[in-house]
Amino acid sequence: MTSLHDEHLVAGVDHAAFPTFDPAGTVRFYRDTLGFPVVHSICAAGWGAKDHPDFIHFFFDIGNEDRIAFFYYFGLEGPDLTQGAGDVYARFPEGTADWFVRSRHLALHVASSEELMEYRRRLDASDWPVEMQIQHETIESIYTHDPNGYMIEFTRALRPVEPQEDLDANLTIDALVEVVQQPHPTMDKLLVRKAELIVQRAEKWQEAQQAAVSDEVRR
Amino acid sequence: MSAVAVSRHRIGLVVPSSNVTVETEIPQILGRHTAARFSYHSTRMRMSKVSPEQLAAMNAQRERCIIEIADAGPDVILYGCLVALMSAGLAEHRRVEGLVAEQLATGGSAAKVRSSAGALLEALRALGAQRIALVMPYARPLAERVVAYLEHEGFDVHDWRALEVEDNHAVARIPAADVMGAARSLDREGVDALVISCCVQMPSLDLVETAEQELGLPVLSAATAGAYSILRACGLPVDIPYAGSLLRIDALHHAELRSGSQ
Repeated sequence: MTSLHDEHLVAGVDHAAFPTFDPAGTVRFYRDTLGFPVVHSICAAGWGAKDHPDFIHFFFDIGNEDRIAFFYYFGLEGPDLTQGAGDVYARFPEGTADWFVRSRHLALHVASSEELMEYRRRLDASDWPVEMQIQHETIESIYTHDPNGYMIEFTRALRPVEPQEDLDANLTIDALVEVVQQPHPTMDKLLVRKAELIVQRAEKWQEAQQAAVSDEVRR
Repeated sequence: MSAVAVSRHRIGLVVPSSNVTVETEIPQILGRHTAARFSYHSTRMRMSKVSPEQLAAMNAQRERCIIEIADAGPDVILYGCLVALMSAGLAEHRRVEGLVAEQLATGGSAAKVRSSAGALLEALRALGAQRIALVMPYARPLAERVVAYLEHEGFDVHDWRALEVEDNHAVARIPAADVMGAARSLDREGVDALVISCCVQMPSLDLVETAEQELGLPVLSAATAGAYSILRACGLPVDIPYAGSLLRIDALHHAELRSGSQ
């Protein structure tokens, strides 16, 4: 195979970056509380942009050699946290619904209940105790907010995601993309469109399923 | 040549605090370029004794030096201490050049970065040299690391001399006769190129051309290699007289092409 054109090539998260106005708290949370090693840092100045402060970009290992990174800008004032909701990067007006504010978060996965509970123990002994623990059919998760107001989730899968669910997700996403390009998208419209797509694709889908099953049998 | 517009380039030099030779020899070489003018902006890492401990401490100052020098908006930055990189571990110049490039890119600087360690390899490869001989000022254990580093990069270090001067101030005062004497004493059988000074602090620029004439093989130094790498990074022709065939490489190729086409 010499062509990469049809390949899914990426290999996970290199780093996800966030600003911080509290690097000391950030280090205390990620390194000292959670035990994420500091794996890299870059001190730089803003050579390319006007009025760019000196800054440091620092990285914690989040497993799998993936990294969470922060920018700290010397002398840059943080937002007013006494009003409204959100984190230091994104502020929302007073009264914005919690479920919306929390919708953007970072979820890190662990392999077992013991590991999940170990992170719960570390957080509960810190200034950032677990705020919420949820469990349902497929996943179990704990949540807290880091010193910057970013919501962090630790999660474990209770059962593996099966190929059928991937097919289902793709039907949903195809239906969603169509429906949101029409006026007044609703869940009902999405479900109708998804049902149509299922009918259209059922035959092919059945074949794929059978192929997967006979593949499994052969092994 | 007369109609060629003269371009201007800022060169950032990151040097050990006790180094005086980089800021002497690099401007001497580049000052002879006919198509470009250069300005030089230095920043210093504290170091006076060439020992593994002081070299490690010096490397830790790199990040500050890059911040200082990048403020001057250079086109190319030369990290001017070969042994600091080569003694730190194999392929260290690639790691350090990568870190500096990342630091510059993160801050939005367009400056390119080269190191004297990487420049020497670049220059040797440009000359097509495989079997080489070296003169170094270093104490023997450091010299052995430099030899191992070059061999790891695929060169056959056929013979070498270490003058064993540890005090970096004294390195700048090593008499030319000592360097030349060491070069003459090398076994040059089958050698493609001679590095008359592996070190950017040991003065050797005035020896390069005469050694090349006398010994009959391409002679280069850490300084001529650094200048070569800077010119390449600036996209400028490499055609500087009286500093060895490395720095006339484009003119020599042109001459070859002309004679080949006849």
